[in-house]
Order: sequence, then structure tokens, then C-alpha cells
Amino acid sequence: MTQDGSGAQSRLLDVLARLRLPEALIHDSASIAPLPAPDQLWRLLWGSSAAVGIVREVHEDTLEMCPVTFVPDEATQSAHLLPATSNTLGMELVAWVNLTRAFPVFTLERHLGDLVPRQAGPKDWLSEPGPTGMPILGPQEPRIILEAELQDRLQDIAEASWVPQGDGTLHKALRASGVFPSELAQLLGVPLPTALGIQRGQLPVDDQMAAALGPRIGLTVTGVLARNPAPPVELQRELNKPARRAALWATRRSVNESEVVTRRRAAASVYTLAARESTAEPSGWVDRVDRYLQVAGQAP
Amino acid sequence: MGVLADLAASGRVGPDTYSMLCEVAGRVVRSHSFPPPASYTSWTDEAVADLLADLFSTKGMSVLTQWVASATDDASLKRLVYKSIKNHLIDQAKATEVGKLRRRLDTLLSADDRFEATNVAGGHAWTLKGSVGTWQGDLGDLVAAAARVSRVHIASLPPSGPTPRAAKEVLLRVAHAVLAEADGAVRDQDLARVVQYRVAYLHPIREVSLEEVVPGGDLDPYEAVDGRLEAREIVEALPPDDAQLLVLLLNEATTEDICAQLSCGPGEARARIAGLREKVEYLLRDKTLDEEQSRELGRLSGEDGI
Repeated sequence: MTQDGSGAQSRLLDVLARLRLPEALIHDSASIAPLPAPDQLWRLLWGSSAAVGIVREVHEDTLEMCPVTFVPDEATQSAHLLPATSNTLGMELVAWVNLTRAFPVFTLERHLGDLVPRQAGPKDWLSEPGPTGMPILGPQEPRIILEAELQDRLQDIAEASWVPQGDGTLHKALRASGVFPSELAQLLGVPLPTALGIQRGQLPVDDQMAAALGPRIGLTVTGVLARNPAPPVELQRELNKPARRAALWATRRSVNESEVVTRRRAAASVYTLAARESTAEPSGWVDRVDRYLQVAGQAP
Repeated sequence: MGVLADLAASGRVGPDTYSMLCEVAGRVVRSHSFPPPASYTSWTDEAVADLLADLFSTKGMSVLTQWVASATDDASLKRLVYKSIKNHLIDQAKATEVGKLRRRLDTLLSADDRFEATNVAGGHAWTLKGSVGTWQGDLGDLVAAAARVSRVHIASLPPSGPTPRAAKEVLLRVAHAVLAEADGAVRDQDLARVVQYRVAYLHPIREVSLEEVVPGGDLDPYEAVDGRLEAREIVEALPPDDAQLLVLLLNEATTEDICAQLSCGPGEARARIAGLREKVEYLLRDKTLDEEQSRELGRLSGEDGI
């Protein structure tokens, strides 16, 4: 900083100059995301909500996590205070054990560090009683509002979803608008067998097809994509891996595009291509997603 | 590059972040009644810098990490900074008030033979004569006991010197009720916190005008709230954030409207309404409400609403 000042302003500049965020929070130092495992610290992000949590249990599609914050003064009696020696960030942590809950695996954004084994006593930092925050005296305490605000963010993240759930009604919309396979093939520029697959509700359309089809059946691109048959669970899980997230973001068409749209487009594109290439039930999702991300990430 | 992106990329507070911090801190102190730091008479730029230097020298790494971990864009970063600075000022004011009250209670309780000074592991403590042992329960029980004491309004308390007779009587009644509930020795710091919470508003709140909380537009703020629950009087006695919330509730705003106006989620809105309810009840303590007014208060406080 170059601001000149005297007295308090100089003191402020001196204090600020000594501060540096933990390495793991600095974007440029982000490394390849590991597989989620217990005792890891992750940043969770979905839409405009972000939080940090400690992984307690790993399930197929979700993670049981204990949310943490970093300002000990803001802890209530429900939160455990963990010392700076408890983790590789070297920060005191406020562990909100009372707010532990499941979060979708695809909301993991960045691995920030790990809890370190205790030198003495029980291995688990969270299960044993230890120091907690001060009790709340009444509804006017700011800490109540801070906890409520944290809960709101956690709720947003926990409820995150991107897969169109159980819709798959595109074939009905086509039928209702009187679109037949030959017209569909021409409209989308696809071979007749592919158009038949879409007509029968077996194949999804990608976003380009959705753009071509939307005006004909009175739907927006998102509306068409939301009526696709849901992508196979194995494909969803491949896209949900934290290691895929940065590459998925690189495929966004604009900085304002929501992650739901980006993920749905990726799933529809990979699924559509796989269905076209294979007469049997498609598989090999790892390679297919690799290829898609490589190509879509380089698109202008 | 935005402020958050710059902060997250460099890990350090650069010129843009510095300017943002000063701007937000200036906004906090302008819209609340917090006193400036000890060596200042008003909130000058130097006083704001002093406040920020104090915040960052005590918990700089914690708050900076919290902001970057929780913010998703510059607007959310500013909201987090605003809340942290405001809460820091509240904590400071409270610590000062609790410290003063602890010393005042020491004087008052020493001169009253119903109370006895003692020492416990955590330091100096107070107990009722005849009680034995040390209280180790839930502070919430003591708060509840204090809440059962009625007529605790203290119009004003001098910053130092002898306690006026009426205030002395209130403080002793509350302290006695708390220690009776504890039935053992309570640390003087805890006793002061509980008593302070019960007799909150020891210092008058800065009045705000309605124009400050209902900016511009076609809505006449006075017309919108006047005549309902003596709302104008109440709104103008509240800090701006609460006044804005009360005006929204009086205008029958939906949960979505409130969340959008206050940039918060439904849980935070509920928590803020609960705090507001306690303040409104306090402001209405001497008034007898008719049936319609009681219903209005119930609606405002979310009993059949948000």
C-alpha cells in the first residue's frame, strides 16, 4: 500500500501490512483437489452461499460435515473452540457441532487443510467436551444473528441440486406440439435414429439442440433442458467430483451463468454424445467427461 | 479486478481493500450511535482508522479469513465487513458497560449486608449471606431469573460517581434475584453481564429520523407508520437497522421482501425480529395496549407471521 498517514492511520497500515491469509485460501496456491475424507477442511460453495466445514463422514453423494468459522468471539455455547494447533491452517476454529449435517459432494469447492492428530487424549477433536463459546443471554445478542445467518447459508448449500429431478417429459412436449421424428431430425441436424431416441424419451438434447427446438415447442433453452431424461447416476457422480469443478467452471459461457446451467449443459452434452455413439447402455463416463471438459473448456 | 478477487489472489490487504474497509467503517459509525475511541471527540477519518487498527490488531487474521472464506462477491464481502465492524463496536461498548457495572455492583453490594463477597476459582464473586458453594449452572437460568424481576427501567446512569437512589434500588433487586436463583457464589463478571442484560439501555439510543430508514420513493414514511402502536415514536427510538425492519413489518412486508431488503436469509430475519420484539416490548413497557395494539405487536413479533 502507498497511502501516507499519521497516527492511527499509520498504525492501521502497519497492522494490515502484517496480515496474510492462510496459503490454502489464496487462489493461486490452490492445488488439485484430493478425494474427500474425514478430518479434512473444505470450503463449500453454492450460488451466493459459502461456508467452511470439517468432513466427518463420506457417503456416495453427500458428506456429513461440521461447519466451522474463524472468529472465536462469535462462538456460542453450542460451538467447540479448537486451538490453532488442531489444524494445518494454523487458525483457531469455531466448530459448530450442533449444526453438523449432510451436504452434496458437488458443493465442495476447495480443500483448505486437515485436522491434525491430537498429541494427547482422545483422537477426535470434536467428540470430546472442550472449551465452548459464551452462553447467549437473550435475543438481542449479535451472536444469535450471526449463528442464524450461518444456518441460512448452510441451508442454501445443503439444499443445492442441479440434476433435473424425475422430469424427462421432453417427449411429451414434442408430442403435444406435433413434432414428428423427421421434422425433429431436420430441426436438430441429427440422424433419424437419434431423433427417434429423443422422441421416445430415451435421449436428451444438448443446449444447441435446445436452442433450435425451444421456439418450435414454446420453451426456453433451460426449459427444454429441464425436460430432458435425467443423466445416468454414474455420469452425475463423475461430474460431482470436486476435482471436476474448476474445469466445469471453465466451460461457463459467461461469468453470470449459474452453475446449474453449466452442469446441466455438461451432463446433457456428454450423455447425448454417448447415446449417439453407443447402441447399448453407455458407459466409460470418466473418459467422456474428460473429453467434454477438454473441448468445452477451450471453446471461445 | 474486484476487491474480493484481489484479496483472495494476493492474500494481503491492498489499496482497494483498504479503501473499502474505511468506507464501510465510516458507514457503520455514521448510522449508529457508538461513541468514538477514547482520544477522539467525533468520528473523524483518524478515529475510524483507530477503530480499524484496534479491530485488526486484536482479531485481524480471524476476521480476514472469515470474510474471504464466506464471501462470494464484493457485495457479500461488504456486508460481512459491515457486520464485523458493527459487532466489534457492540462488543467494545458492552465490555465497557459490563466493566463499569461490575465496579458499581461491587460498591453497592459491599454496602448491603444481604450480600457477601467471596473468591472462587474464576476470581472475585458474590453470594447471598447463608448460601454455600459455587454456582456452576447455566447462565441462561440466571438470565431467566433476572427477567422475572419487574419494573427495572433505569432512565439514566451517570458514567461515574454515586448511583442514583432509584437505579441503586433496581440494580440491587436484580442482583438479589440472580443470586437467589444461583444459590451459590457467582463470579462478579457473570453477575454484571446478567444484570447488564436485564437493565439494558443504560445509555439512551441515538434517535433516527424516519427518512433515514425509508429512503426516497413514493412512500411517506410518517403516513406509513403513524398512528399504529405509536409506531413513529418507537421507530425513531430504534437503531437504524431495527427501525428499517420495523417499518417493513408495519407495511406488512412478506418474508421474501424482508430478506431482499435486508440482504439476509429467513433464519437471520427471524432472529432479528426476535431481537426487535424484545426492544419494542421494552419501549412499550409503560404503556397499556388495547386489544388491537396487542394484536399488532404479536403480528410484528412474528407470532402469526414470519
